[in-house]
Amino acid sequence: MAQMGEVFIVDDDSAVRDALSLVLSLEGYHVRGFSDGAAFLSVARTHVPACIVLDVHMPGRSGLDILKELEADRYPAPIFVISGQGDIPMAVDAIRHGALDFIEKPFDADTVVERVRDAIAAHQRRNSTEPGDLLTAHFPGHDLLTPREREVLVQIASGASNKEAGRKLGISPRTIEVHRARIMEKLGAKNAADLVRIVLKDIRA
Amino acid sequence: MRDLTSSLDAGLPPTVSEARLASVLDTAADGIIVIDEHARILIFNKACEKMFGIRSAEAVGQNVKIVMPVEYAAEHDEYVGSYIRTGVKKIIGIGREVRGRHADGTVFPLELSVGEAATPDGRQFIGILRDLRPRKESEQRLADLQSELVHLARVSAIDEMGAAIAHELNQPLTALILYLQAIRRAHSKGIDINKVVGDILDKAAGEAERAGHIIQRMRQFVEKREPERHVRDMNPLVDDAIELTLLGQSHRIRVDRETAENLPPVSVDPVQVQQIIVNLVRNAIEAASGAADPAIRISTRTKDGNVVIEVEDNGPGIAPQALPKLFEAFASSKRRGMGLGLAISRTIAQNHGGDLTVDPGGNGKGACFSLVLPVASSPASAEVG
Repeated sequence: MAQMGEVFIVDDDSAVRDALSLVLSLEGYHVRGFSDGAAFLSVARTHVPACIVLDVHMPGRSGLDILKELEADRYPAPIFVISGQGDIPMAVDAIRHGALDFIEKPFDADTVVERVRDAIAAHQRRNSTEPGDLLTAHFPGHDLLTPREREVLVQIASGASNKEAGRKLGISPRTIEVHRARIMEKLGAKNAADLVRIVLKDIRA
Repeated sequence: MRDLTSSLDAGLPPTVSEARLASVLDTAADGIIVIDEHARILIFNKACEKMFGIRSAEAVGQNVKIVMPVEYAAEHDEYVGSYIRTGVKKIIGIGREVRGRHADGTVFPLELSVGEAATPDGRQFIGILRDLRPRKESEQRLADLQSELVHLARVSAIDEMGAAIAHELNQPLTALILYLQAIRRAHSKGIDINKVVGDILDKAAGEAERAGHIIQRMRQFVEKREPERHVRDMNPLVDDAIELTLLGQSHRIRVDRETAENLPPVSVDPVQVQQIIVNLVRNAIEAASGAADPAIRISTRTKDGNVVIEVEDNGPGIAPQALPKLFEAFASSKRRGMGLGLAISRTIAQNHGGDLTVDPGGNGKGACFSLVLPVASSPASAEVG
């Protein structure tokens, strides 16, 4: 069932890797497991899977280091990070480094399958549609935003709620919130209305 | 010189010095007994009356055995006789802890010091006695408090490592949930997994055991229990403690472990000694965490009849100004914890007849803590609860 796409799992814990592989294989995904960052990076640089699931908490090269080295914010596949419960600062960091979203441990099979499926679908949808005006527009600070932040900005500027934006982009509302804060910080906006004003004024000008 | 007791007994008016002596005897907080060469009681002061529940009038003239437990009483005559014959002092001028017997039969600990006086009526022996029960009680209370504190420090160590341990526990739980749900999902979708379902269930059970093992180790560590002594090989204890510590921390670190061949056993409270190791290893990891290549070294070896466990890090060493208060309670420079770790660790080490010392390092060298524990004298004598 290779048409379901390939999923890379990066986790130093062999049991978690094995169990996760089992769940996703039963869904029809072709799964490849990696026990450390180096092995994963050497493959992922030349071979892009449909989705990546990466444990952020690993000895040696951490999940964050891997995201940086992979230049995850420009990587052409959605990347999920798995984080421990309550490890939100780490997860937020991961998202800033280009992870699509995070999944908190312990998670269940339904959650991970649904998240992976939605993310792959959203990614395919994105590739097949024309980018909106904002994605190409050159408002000040445009260059500061990552491709994903520009996507989120399009949603916010079009008036979508966190929940709606999340559904559209295949990520959780909480993660949209992280991006929103980051975008406002980068563009120097004080609130959402401010954000829309900055962006739209400059497009009109 | 008139015999004090006989003059008092005879109802003759006391001389000035007799009156003064009687007053001193009755005011003394300690029990005072004077006996003659035949162990007959000549003086039995007020403090003794209270201590033994015997009136002076009843005690005087009797053998001093009346205030001793039966097993001592039998030997006492022999002691006095032996001293008079040989002149070898077993207690005189030395003082020791003995047992006394109250009139109601209660046997209790006493501190006894004995002096000797040569009088015209022959040799007399003066015993000064102090009831040790109040002191024993406060010693016991102190020991209880200390053991409570030692336990609290262990709980606090686990508490501080809580987040990391929760992470460690989440690994097997996550795998366990996924294995079981994989079977559930395959079943509801009608996917045939008959060939592998046995394997998957075995793996799931294995993960449940792994989670149980982590909890068990934590429980053993924080369980409240009486201090005990067991003759143990130090190496497995050290290895377990290292494992527990690494479980509870998130820094990346290299651990070098050096063990000497044929390490002699030590007589220790295993949990308490592991508590020291956990504390030292945690500190070392923290100290090394800023280094370019964080590493700690833990070695066990024998030196001068002791087993020495060294925990060294490659951090910046201990600042000279921190050194004087390093082993004091509540003097920690760290943000987390109560600053009890090293103070308690040293107390535990000293309770074991050992010590905890430090080479502070500095100038590019990390700190090195040495836990010194005496080698168990013999397995039989050391196996005491």
